Amino acid sequence: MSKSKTKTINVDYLARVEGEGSLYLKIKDNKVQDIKFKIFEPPRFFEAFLRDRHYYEAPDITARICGICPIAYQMGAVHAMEDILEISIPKQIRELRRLIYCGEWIESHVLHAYMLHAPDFLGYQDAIELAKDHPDIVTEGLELKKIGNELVTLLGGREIHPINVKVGGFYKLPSKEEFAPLYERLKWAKKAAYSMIKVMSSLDIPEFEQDYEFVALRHEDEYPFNEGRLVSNKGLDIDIADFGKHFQEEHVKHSTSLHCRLKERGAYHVGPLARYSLNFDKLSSEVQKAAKDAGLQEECYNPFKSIVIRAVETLHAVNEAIRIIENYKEPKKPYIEAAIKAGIGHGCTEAPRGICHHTYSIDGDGLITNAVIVPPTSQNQKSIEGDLEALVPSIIDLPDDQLSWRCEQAIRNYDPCISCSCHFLKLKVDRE
Amino acid sequence: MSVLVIGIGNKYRSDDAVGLVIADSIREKNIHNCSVVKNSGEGISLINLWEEHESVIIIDAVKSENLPGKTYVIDIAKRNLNTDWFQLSTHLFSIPEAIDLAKQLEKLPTRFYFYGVEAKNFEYGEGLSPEVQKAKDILITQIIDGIQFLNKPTNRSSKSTGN
Repeated sequence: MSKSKTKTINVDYLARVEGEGSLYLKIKDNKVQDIKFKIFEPPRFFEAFLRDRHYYEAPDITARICGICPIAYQMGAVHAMEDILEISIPKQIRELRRLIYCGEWIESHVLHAYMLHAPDFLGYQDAIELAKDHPDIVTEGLELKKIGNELVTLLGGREIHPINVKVGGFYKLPSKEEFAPLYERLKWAKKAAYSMIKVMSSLDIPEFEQDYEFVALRHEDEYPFNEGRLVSNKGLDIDIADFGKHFQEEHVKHSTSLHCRLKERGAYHVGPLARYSLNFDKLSSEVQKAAKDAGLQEECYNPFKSIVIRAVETLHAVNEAIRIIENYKEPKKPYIEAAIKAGIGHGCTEAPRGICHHTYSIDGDGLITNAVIVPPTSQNQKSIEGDLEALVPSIIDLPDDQLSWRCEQAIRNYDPCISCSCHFLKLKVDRE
Repeated sequence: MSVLVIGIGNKYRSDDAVGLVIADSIREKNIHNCSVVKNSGEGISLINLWEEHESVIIIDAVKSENLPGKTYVIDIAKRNLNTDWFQLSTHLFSIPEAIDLAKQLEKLPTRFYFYGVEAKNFEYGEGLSPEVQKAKDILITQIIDGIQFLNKPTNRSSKSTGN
């Protein structure tokens, strides 16, 4: 009788992800016994901070949740408050909200693809090592990201934790002239986005597919940013107000971030793969062609291809930014005012990493009495663990350092923002 | 081209705010040919800030085994920053990584100095510890001297560096 062998692989701090997490992997007789994507970043209690604050403070407080995707939080908050106060924003304000979101998608997708994830596919420890051999690639990424930052800065007042978004619109609006220099740079950004698609689609992408339930927003007329119904490829089609009826947040021992699951079916997948697969028909014919030229089908179930989809979405965001600036007419008023009233409201937007759902209650004085924010990374934790369970058996014979690397790469497919979900990564592999 | 001064920190993390506080003080002095910005310390945005400048000063709190309030002046072209000083950074790219990446991409300013203060406390809250408060005043004087030195291009080789 052969002696059983147990092996543990522990990645104590996952690198190139935002926040603090780790991975524990226990292998017995060359079979996976246990996988835990652990999040140990302390809870940040943002939902509690929001209570008893005025409704109009929500966009500025929630912007502090994340340095990379503050717009997603601000937009979720303002939409929920406008839901309560029955504010209907004019078209031009709506367009500017889409424009600031374009900026966030560009900066977040480019940072992740060039600086954090591409090194995995090219065999470099990090972007600094990548830059030694491919300075042109990294330079292009930095320049493209800068344009995303500039969009956020122009509309948001500053690039990190913007301060110009308010319930009903913006505090101050840029003039048409202020967009002019950025418009010229966006024309360069379009070429750079095509180059990004070429670079990312030429990477050596592992063959790996999962039968995900994709969940994303879907809007009648456009590729989603701020609005739409929540749909899935397995029958979900709900108003965002019904999120709580279908989704359940639960505490698991190994994570300080709540895990979110579909009450009926468990794990689900949010982010670029879901958004793209559920909304391919809403991309422009130009972007659809760019995606197909990059080798993508209309649906994609290979999470390692998320890096290519991020590049495709970057092109979409650049095109959308150009369109909005070309048609921009400064609104008469930067925001809409409304009388305070008590109520419950919901907001759901497509953060770069996936849907970010907000629910708020306010009282008759406009004070927040309850806040529930469900960020994308907390929704993807079960899918991340599911990917690892499916992936590890096929790579179990790899030496531990390579096994760890591939597992980390699989986690980075999700561009997890652990700081957000707690409101980082260690890997431990146990082999027996 | 003007000298760019970048104050780095988080105003809500006690002594981590020292770079921001110093930046405010320098800005108030309206020094000729000097622009001042504040930054959270996120590496990519730092590269974007400094890449178009020849003369740059960055100011930040550091954490090592030395006594709180100790000050540091480092010529980045000649010496590497100690990565251990920035272990408490919450950013994916902190200052040393940004400098390494910028070196690879030839995006480092020609004349580039780091001014640091040994912090005592990085806990949540506002206000500097007495040791850092005292060091701040010393460093402001040194930085003003540094800006004036950088505004004299003919003297660039005589700049003294070190702790």
